[in-house]
Amino acid sequence: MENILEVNNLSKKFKGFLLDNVSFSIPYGYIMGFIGANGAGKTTTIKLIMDLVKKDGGEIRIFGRDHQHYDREIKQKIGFVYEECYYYEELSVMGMKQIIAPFYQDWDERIFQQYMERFNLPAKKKIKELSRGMKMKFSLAVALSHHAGLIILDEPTSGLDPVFRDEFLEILRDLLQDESKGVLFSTHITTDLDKIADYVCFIDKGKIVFSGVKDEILGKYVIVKGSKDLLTEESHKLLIGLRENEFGFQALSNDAARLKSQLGDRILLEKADLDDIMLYTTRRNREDA
Amino acid sequence: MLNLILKDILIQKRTIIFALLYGVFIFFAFSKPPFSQCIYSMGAMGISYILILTALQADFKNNTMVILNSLPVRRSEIVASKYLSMFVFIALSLLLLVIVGFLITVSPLPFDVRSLELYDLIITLLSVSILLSVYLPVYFKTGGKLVQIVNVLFFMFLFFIPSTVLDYFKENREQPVVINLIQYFSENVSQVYLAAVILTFIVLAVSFTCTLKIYAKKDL
Amino acid sequence: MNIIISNSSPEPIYEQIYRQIKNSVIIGELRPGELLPSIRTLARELQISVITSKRAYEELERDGFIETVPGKGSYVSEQSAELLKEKRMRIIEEKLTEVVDDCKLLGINLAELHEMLDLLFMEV
Repeated sequence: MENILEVNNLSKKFKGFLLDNVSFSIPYGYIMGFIGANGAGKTTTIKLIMDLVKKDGGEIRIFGRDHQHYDREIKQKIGFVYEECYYYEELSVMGMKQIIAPFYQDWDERIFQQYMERFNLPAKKKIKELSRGMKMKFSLAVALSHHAGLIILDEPTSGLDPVFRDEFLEILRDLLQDESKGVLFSTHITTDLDKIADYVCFIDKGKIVFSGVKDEILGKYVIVKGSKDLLTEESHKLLIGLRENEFGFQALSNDAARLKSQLGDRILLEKADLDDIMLYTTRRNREDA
Repeated sequence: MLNLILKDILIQKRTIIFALLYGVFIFFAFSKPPFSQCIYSMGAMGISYILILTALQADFKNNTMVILNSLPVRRSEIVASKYLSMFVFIALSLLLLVIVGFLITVSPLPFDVRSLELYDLIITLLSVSILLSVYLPVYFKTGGKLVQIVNVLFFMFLFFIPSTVLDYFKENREQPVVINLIQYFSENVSQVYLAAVILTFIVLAVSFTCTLKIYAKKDL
Repeated sequence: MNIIISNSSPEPIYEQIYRQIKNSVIIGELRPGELLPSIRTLARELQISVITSKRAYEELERDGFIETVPGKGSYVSEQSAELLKEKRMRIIEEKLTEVVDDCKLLGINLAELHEMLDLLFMEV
């Protein structure tokens, strides 16, 4: 299976922040969720992929080609939606489109108009009069209107209502009916990814914590709850991000089998979702530091 | 590349109207000698500078460089378009002034405007180039932060320099240096022009190379 | 074909799909040779990951219930008619065993059972 996006040993040093040896890849036809707390390095990684920020080391290949050598050809085929939509505030929606569209060889005005209608975007309104949601919808319409292969989304739905978030996911699902596309979806709203992601990559403090098939990862982890007297030194090793309260403890574990054999039926095991995995792992990382 | 230059024009349709008015103002303010000598160059300098600056300001205030660099466009093209747009805006401003001047001439207003001469073009080209050759590297290096200060300084320059130079020449017209200089200029006009154009291009080339290097490494 | 997924069930989603499709095949809701929805269509409709639906189909294929033709799609396999028949035979056997047990309890002999069967076969 070939990869639409490949990141190998990417690194970048800023004052006070280090992106360290980041590696992951997305095969053609799939969507990868990129999760992490605010400031973990998601946006930096995306900026590095788009060559907005210059990498210190590592390799990035998009559509199989180096992202810097073939930057123009590659960007023809990338649709992007950033968290902050920086457009010329004084221009109208159509005016802004008229500036962007000529850059794309495969711009499809018909598709763009369809999205304008579907999202109810007012063509004549000035960008500065649009709400955040409308700006994001405009970004999305543009990103989807030039037959892009790779769609890169950086926190596209934060601050948007669940109704539109649902529609947004539907659009992505429709998009992925085409096996030649791929999506990188960075967000801290993991519930969206629980539903749609094929792969998931979790970054914390500039390092990749894990990266793989979402269902496998979800299958590996469980939430463990029980009374504090059950905590032995042995069991501590299997618990991630342990939190004790007055009445008991809760933690994450990726070895439910061994835990069960150690502590038996006196513990409660629950399914973990991406949010849980992110929370407990982050807590463990903070404590280790 | 053309897209980029077109973009700089499209985002300031309103400014162009303002520029027209500025042109009219210039003609009224500087209709008498010695300023009428500089009328086209000062006007064109002012207008081109306003247009170029407004475009740069728009990019800076709206932080659109992030979007622009995400489009299928090279950084070198973005830089090149700024330098090329200078020529476009100079041509545009001279055109605007010629139109306004023509309208004034054929109107019932009490004064006439002389027509455009080659030296207007040369002087405008040289001065705007020098200004931008300093301005653009600073802009691309700092992302537009220092430019507010540079703005003010340059506008002061704009009105300060020509009058000072002319005053100097007026007061020292008896000096042999000045006499020789004026003589040399009047006898070797085309060579002087050629030298000015070559100087312009050298200055621009150096500035362009610097800006390219600066922007190639910049983190947005 | 109806597939209902529970997100809160401990059973993995691919297993839920596997089970439901397998049942449909066995009870004959899905006929041999019938074309199944593509992996991607299934994923979109059920709002799950493509990898999940792919895995379900892979397991179904491994166990002989479906066949995938590259470029065309996945079909309920002809063989599964055999599996179907086997399973149905087994169900009938089980039911008959129950009936026989009941008859013995109630003191009904084989000849009387035969009569009942003849009547039923003629009616239904």
